[in-house]
Amino acid sequence: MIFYFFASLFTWAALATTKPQPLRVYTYDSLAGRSTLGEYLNQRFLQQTGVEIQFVSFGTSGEALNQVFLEGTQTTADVLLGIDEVLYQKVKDKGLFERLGDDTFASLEPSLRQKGDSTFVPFDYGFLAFLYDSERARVTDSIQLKDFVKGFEKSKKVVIQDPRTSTLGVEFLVWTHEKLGDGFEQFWRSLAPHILTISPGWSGAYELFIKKQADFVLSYTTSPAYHRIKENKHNIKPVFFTDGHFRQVEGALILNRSKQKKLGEQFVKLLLSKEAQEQVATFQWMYPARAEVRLPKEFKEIPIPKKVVVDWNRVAALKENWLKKWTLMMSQVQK
Amino acid sequence: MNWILSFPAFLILIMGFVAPLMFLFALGLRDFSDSVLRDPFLLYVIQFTYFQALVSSVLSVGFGFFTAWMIKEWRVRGGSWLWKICLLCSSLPAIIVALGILGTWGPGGLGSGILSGTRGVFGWTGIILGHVFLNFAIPLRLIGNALRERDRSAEMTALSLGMSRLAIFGQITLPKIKPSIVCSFILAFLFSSTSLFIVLFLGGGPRFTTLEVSLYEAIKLNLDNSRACQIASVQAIICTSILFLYLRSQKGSFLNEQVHRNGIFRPRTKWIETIGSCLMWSLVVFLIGLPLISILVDGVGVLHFLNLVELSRAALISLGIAFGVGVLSLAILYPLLHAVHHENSSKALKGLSWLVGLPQFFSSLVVALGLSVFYPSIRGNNLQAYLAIVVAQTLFVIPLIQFPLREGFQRYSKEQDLTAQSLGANRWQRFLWVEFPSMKRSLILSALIAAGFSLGEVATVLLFSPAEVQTLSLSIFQAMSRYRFQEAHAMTVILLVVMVLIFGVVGRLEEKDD
Repeated sequence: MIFYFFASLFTWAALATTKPQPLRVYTYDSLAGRSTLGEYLNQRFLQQTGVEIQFVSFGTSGEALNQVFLEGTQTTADVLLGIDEVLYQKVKDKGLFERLGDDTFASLEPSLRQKGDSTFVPFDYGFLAFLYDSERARVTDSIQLKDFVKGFEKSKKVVIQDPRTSTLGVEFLVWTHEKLGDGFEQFWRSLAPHILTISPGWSGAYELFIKKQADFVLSYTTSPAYHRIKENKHNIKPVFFTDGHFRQVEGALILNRSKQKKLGEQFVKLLLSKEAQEQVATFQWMYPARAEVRLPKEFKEIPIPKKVVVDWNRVAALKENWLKKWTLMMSQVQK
Repeated sequence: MNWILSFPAFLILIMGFVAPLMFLFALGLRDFSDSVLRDPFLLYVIQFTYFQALVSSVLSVGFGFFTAWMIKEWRVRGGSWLWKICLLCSSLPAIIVALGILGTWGPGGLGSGILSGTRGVFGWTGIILGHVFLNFAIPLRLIGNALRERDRSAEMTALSLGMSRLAIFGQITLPKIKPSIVCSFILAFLFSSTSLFIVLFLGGGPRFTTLEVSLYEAIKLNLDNSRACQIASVQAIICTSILFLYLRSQKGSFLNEQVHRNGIFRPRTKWIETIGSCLMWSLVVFLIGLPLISILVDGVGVLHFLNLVELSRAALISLGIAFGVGVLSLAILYPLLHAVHHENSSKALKGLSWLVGLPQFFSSLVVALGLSVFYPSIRGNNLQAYLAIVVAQTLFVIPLIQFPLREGFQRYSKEQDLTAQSLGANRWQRFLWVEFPSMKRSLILSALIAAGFSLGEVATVLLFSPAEVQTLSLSIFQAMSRYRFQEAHAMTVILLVVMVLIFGVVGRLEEKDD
């Protein structure tokens, strides 16, 4: 009896030790969990490699990146997923991430790859935009960003994200700086009286908009596709600016401390595969990074805006200063 | 021997609080004048923090005083229930209060219509509502006790000599309860200035940023420890000043042992009493009941959507930490108070027992930051991270549980101990057969208070917990941060049930002690 007990114990221990370690992916929470792109990727990855993906999710991609810093040399993360370009500027020179061959990027829309970079692997992108409900608000066509607030009635309320806590918020800050230059301060001063609240993240801001507490919300040009496909609602629309929109690109990074770099590369390959890219539109509500992927018709109905050109070196050097300036200004002008 | 018993308290206080805080000060005061005094935004934040704390504490004391007056002087109908409900609500974690207020006054909430057309619940409205909810029980308890215990004979004499009730209140009653008003104002001010979750969820944007929120951003979002240390130093300096004010306010505040219980401020007619009772109950239901009802109504309906495996895991971790905090806090405080009890003359021991109350005057983020900069390897190691959470929470629990333990020791008669000693019982036998049985109820009460506090604590878990570790309160925080209110409400229902059970038992034990 004792013999059988120990034999089964050893067999179990042996099986446990031979079971492959899961691939640990740090990401933000709407990329992991039920009915997400993460769940799809996990199923496919398990079929292809026999290895599971263990998603460790955080409130924002910034928090996921911070966790990697906090864990330092002891980090158990293999891949960082969902980091955007602005956040990436902060870490790109730190030597934390694995360089990948040019063939990894071959299938991607060429403009998505950062010049001379071989660590940040774009997998989706979208254009920032203010959304409005056409049943509650009217918007003049063909306006520029600087004129967005002009002609607003006093009661019109906008909800935006806080650039100190939200990726979208910081991208909007960069957008206004890159596009308006010296007009940056004037724009924010005219926007301030219409700000209902500055939400810590996208979810909070969007909730206020959906519950009709705000007339405009900062989101993506592709967000209305969700309402069209899932709710058959056509009243949520983006405001298009003639002088262009900020393009957000999300990417994946393999940590060079990872003990499973090969698996990490396989994960990236799966992420950029045509079949996974086809899922991006209806899971992420963003454009896939592969140009040839077919999009649902609701996506095709949304015009693709002009892209604002961003000088990433300037953003990397000055972002903190812009943020300080903005914070101080808003503490004085926010109602 | 008694000195050895005080060693655990001494060790945890020095290594877990004093040394980390000193180290944090040293880091924070480096370039202080350049970084803090010349940073206009930080100066604005300091100004806003203490202005909102002032407004919040004035309103908390006002509402607390009014409620205490109605319960203790007017003796409103159902006053004892009102008293219990109000005190129970004040034990709720700030995160639950923020959730309740958002659920009631926030988008789509029961009361959102009342606030439509303004900024809604965000900004001043939310911050003040949240702080008054959390802090009005401090004046309620302190002023309520002062009102109950005061000697009313001078008031009766003045009334019989023809003095008006208003004049009696201003010239006789108010001076008597003044120390309790000052004391509760200082405490409410301190807690409003160091509150995190109320401002984080109900503020919104740079204009509504407090020192505690800036500290949270610097630690958690920007990983800027040097900035965090500077902010923490500013806060610690101000908290220390408030502590001294508090100690001064306590001098001369004493309660009369021989009380005259006939009230002269009771309503003179039945109908006034009825109107007062209705007003009081409606006010409490409106301000306190609605947020809790909104959580329960929303939460119960979606309980079945919760992931039971994740929830059980979070509950187990929460209970594990709570158990650790309960055991550690008793293991530290009990020997110290035992030593103080048996060596009444030792000033050093009394001083040490006073010092263990210090951490409550600092925010949990400041204490947690002190630990993380003094022991930098904590955050990268799971075991050390759990230990840090337990130690940090223990530091905050000790000041809370010292009162029931002290009361227990006051009841425990030294004569029994001497009798057992004369019968030949050694130290351990006396502890097991004499001291322990008489302290049992106080020990259970203290352990329950410690566990209740730990279950609701988020800041330390947020700062130290390893990536995939969840506690119930952290899960609620994360669901709220992601605006998954239904999920947050459902988890809060579970946490509320556990906490109401715990504090219900605490209430029963306290009643028995009285």
